[in-house]
Amino acid sequence: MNATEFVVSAPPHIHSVYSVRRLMLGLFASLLPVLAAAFWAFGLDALRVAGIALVSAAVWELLLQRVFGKPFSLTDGSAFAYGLLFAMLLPATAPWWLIAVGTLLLLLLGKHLYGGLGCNPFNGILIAYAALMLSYPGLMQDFPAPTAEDIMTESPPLVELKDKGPEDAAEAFPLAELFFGSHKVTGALGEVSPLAVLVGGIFLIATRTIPWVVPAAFLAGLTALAGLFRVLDPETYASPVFHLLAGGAFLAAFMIAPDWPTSPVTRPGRIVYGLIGGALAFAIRAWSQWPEGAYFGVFLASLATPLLDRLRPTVFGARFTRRRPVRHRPTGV
Amino acid sequence: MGSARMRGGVDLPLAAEGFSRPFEPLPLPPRLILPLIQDEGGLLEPKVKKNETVRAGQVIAENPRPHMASLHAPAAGKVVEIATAFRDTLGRVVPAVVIEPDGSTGQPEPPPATDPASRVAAQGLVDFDRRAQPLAAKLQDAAGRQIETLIVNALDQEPFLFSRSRLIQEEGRALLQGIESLQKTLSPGKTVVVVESRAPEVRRAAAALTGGTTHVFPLANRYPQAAPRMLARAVLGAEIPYTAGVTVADIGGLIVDVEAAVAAGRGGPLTERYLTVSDGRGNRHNVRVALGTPIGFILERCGIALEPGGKIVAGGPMSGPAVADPGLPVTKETAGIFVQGAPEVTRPAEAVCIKCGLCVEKCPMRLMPFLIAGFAEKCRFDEAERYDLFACIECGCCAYLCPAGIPLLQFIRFGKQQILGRRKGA
Repeated sequence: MNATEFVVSAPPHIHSVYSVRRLMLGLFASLLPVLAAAFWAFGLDALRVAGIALVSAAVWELLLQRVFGKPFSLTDGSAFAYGLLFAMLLPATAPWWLIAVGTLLLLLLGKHLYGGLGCNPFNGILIAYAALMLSYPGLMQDFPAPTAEDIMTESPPLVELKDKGPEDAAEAFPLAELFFGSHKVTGALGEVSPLAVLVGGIFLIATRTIPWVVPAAFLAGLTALAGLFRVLDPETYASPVFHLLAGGAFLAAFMIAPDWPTSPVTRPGRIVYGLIGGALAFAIRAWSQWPEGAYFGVFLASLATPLLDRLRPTVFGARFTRRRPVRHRPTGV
Repeated sequence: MGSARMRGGVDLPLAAEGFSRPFEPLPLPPRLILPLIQDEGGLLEPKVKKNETVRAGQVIAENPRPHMASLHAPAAGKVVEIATAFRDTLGRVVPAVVIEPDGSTGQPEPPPATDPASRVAAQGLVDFDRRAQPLAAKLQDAAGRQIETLIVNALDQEPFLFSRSRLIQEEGRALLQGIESLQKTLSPGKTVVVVESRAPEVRRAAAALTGGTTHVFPLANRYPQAAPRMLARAVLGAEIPYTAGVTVADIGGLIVDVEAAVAAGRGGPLTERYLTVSDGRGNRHNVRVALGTPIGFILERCGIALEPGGKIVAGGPMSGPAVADPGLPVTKETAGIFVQGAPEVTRPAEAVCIKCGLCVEKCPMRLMPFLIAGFAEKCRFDEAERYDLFACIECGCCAYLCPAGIPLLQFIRFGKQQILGRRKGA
């Protein structure tokens, strides 16, 4: 009939703009304002840490692909996005080998050991963070002193809170300065300006790269528990707003908690996951030896993800009950 | 009346010019091919012989079962062949009648006036849903029940299809007659005509239909809003499950699409279709064609070139079947024609699921597509069924969205076929 050959395949025949690369690019782009804030706070050291993280992640990715016999996939962008995100959890003073060990753990334990992106049960960034925090707590918390003249403390806000209590911490760090970023504040690269993180987070939500439910639930969980204890005992516990703006709460909420493979897929699951993560973030901050609990909180919440995925929406029509049959009505002419 | 907004689905950019393209009547092709099969109705029995001369509108095949739909000659001519093994659009091997039109005109005999279900069966009317269902069967199903709401579906089935929105503008009178005759048959408490709310010309045209118990129901046509379950939910505010045998009639509604209603209003046998022909490059044509016209003939008339390595879809881009042969004809099951050139054919590189949850978020049936498809892919059919595989309405939103490019709908269909095949074999 016709010699021309056509493609036959199953529908749908069109595809959305979504791709894994686009998601990763989105995450990468959302981190740029955060990196800019870190540069403003720590100068070239911030770029050094981010650069080493990116390069080492790319090198490990290529090596690990070779070792595990996987096809070349550097172009999916996951090594770069995760590498940069990991750098945001490090202090600006981090030595190069610490960063390189971190990105190796990130890509090995958080990706390739389990068969590649999407098959990992745990968030590689948090595995690397937890491993380095346990192995090198000194180096991981060796934050450079703030550069402002009129500082009341050289510690990051949450360390100040742990050491001196909520009143001193609140006095040393006015909330507006915590939010916008200030030369009085130190911390990891991604912890100096919640505003920059928020800009990135809004970008992620606006481009539908992450669901808004997860960050909202995380921040709600943190606020709720922090608020409860603030009301019960204001002498011991900082205000919920302080908890939101100090340290890595925003970074954990917008960039880390929504990690696709390790967060639940259903809306109810995501809400519970976020609430657990936020509540644990507060609990670890308040009652453990670690000043910053946001990342550990997300890590622990992600352990519950397989369970939370069982919180399924009810299937369309599941609540249907059949009416009793109506007697026959004569039809018209 | 509840207007529960559909949850999930996808919102594709509206190609608004499609609403204002008038139907172009296409000439008859040299040969009309009429496969003797109907979705949800099985094979038809031919009523003509080879070399027999047929009049336009003459019955050429009938369904042996009651309340199905007959098939009529779209034009006068000669039966040049009764093929026994014709491969149709969906790949089924079926008999087919081939007619060579001779150009003569003649009035079709009016179908005998009996009860409404038999009359629409004799007219060959079907509800032009994704799976064309004989209208007679629908009316028969509704006959024992109280139909409170007659729903005339003028929402286009898929993005890039506009024929229903166009039909309501051009065939208002026939539509009104069709609605009246359906109202006589069903005596519904009210009738709603559901139209695309984002097309002002369509809403204006629909406003003329208002009167008596008939109302216009504007609805933003996010895909797959036009699917029966989604439409019934929007209009009647209730959800019907996928359990076999449960239909919209169980919640007091009956959905008839606007093309079937227009055909019912005309009264004669159904021999032509109103279709949108579009390609991925902005060519949009609304055409009126005789049943049995080859798709290639239509594309040629519309000036849409076929490229090697391109794709022809006998339906819409989201759920229509791709066909290999442009010689395949338009049938009562064709929802439209969608053509892609070679560069537009999507070949998403299939990556591993990263559990982003988009498919879960957007599934209008509130399923877990990635799990169901994953189980089906691994032939773990029991688990796929436990996660409600059979509730899938095959809209294709999941595969459309999937960042990893996983052909979720294909896996889900595979699962359904395997399970049904095993049940049959057992």
